[in-house]
Amino acid sequence: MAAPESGDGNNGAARMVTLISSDNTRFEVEAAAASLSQTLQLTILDGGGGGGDGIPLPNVDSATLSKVLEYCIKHAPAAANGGAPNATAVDRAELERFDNEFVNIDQSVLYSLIMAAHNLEIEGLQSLVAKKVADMIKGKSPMEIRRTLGFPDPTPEEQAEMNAHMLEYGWAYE
Amino acid sequence: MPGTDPFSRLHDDLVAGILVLLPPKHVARARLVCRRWHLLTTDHHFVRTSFTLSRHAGRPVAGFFHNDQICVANYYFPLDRDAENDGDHPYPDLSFIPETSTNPWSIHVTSSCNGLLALICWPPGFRGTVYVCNPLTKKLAPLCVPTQFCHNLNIAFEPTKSPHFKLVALGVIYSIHVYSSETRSWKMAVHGDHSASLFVGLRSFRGVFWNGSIIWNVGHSLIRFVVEGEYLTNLPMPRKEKGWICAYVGESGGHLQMIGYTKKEKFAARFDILEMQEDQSEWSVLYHVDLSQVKELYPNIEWPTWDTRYHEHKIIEYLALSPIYVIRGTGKSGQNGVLIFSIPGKIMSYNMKDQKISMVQEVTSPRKVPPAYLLEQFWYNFYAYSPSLFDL
Repeated sequence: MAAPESGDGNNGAARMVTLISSDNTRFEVEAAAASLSQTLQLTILDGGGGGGDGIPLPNVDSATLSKVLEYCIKHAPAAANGGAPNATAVDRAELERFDNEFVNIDQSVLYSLIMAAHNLEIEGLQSLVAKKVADMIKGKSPMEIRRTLGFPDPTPEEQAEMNAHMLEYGWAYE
Repeated sequence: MPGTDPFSRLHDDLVAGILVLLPPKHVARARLVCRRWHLLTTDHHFVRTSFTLSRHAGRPVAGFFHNDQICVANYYFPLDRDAENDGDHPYPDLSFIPETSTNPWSIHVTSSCNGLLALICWPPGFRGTVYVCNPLTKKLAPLCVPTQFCHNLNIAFEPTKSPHFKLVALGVIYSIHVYSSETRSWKMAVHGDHSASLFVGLRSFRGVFWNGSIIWNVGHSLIRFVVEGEYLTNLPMPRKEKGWICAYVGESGGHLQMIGYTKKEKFAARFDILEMQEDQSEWSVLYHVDLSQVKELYPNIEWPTWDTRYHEHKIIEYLALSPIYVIRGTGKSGQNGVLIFSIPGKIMSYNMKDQKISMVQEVTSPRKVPPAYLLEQFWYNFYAYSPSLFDL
């Protein structure tokens, strides 16, 4: 990625911003990509993040941030076209393929992404990861859901309470 | 943190934001996962959001309850057969209703509205019991209903406006009675002296809930009872020409649909589906329907006159085909709608987008009526159902 020296963004070269993760790793990224985040967009519009300053993101670690930026860079061109009403079917199919592969990740990364997407207010990413988790839950019994999401075994009180609800609803727990 | 699942790090809003994406049926099951999920998904705001989302997700009807058990053995027709492959039972489970243990056929659905059902149960030798229930959450409220109108109850339930439901019933000489789940009591809203003349020509006791009102067809016009205001008014019929009849009134997607035709249009199986949009008083054409290929597929739905039945040139006097429900598509123009209709022995669907005709359900008779003597089914015996999570 070419980093222009003076990035006022008006002379062809894309304006770059620097983001700093909670563990102090610096990420340089095009302003257009970072602006997919509603939170960052405001800072960037105010002229923040350029030069040596960088925008600190104390809630996002570097592993998560690099994943978030991977999403933003891929989606930035389509978002710049105003949701891409003139995008070709091929472009859309490509984004869809990317999205499907993108969420094919370890659960702990998925949850970190949910929180990061929420904190940074990246709408598309929020619904993408939420939908992924919802799909993991769909069609499973309560016990299967617990296992899938790695919940610890229910405490005896919790088990008793759920048994009571189970009777109320008339469904099997398993 | 060792020993702690990563999911529990997500705060409540985020967990609710994920669970609300599940169809209501799956939410109901997810309630049993843990105490936290139970609390999150029984919250009223959650339930309403889930309702609005599934309404817009393009699956407004899961299936139909059918209350004519004298002629038909099936009490429910699922529309979405794919649900079966999801490891999901497509039939709503009514076994929590006490009467089903003794006689499952004693239940008659008399109204269905946003996931709630009104039913009447007839245990042999007893007075009927009326219930309002939510089959998904298995919540049941027995109601005290005066016998003279326990057959024509209409649920009026608009959860985006009020968490309480009302029941509207036609009583003696068409007096109108309203039950409120908030006050748990009945009151007479309109005295028969003021309503009897309006109801002359009533086609069916079956009302349709639309736009905060119950609508009945009296032939030359529609009668509208505004539930909140407790008054009656008229809606015009779209056409007045001789021989035109209204064959269907229903609600889908918040709008009121009507199907009507002249004899000629009916025999040709080509007619329009009209619509009155919410807060309007004009009818406009929603879809043009051409079911003429049904006649080719099932020639025996055309009934010739008695004297021409062996002739080469038959004179057709009846077409055994009747609309059951209009499922409106999305958007202002209602693209991709579906018409559910009936011919003898079958419930069929017609897709507006590609004109595709398919069979939804074979209709069997408990009395072993030979297929040739089966009649088509009529809309007023069908109750569109879609699960919701609302409490009573």
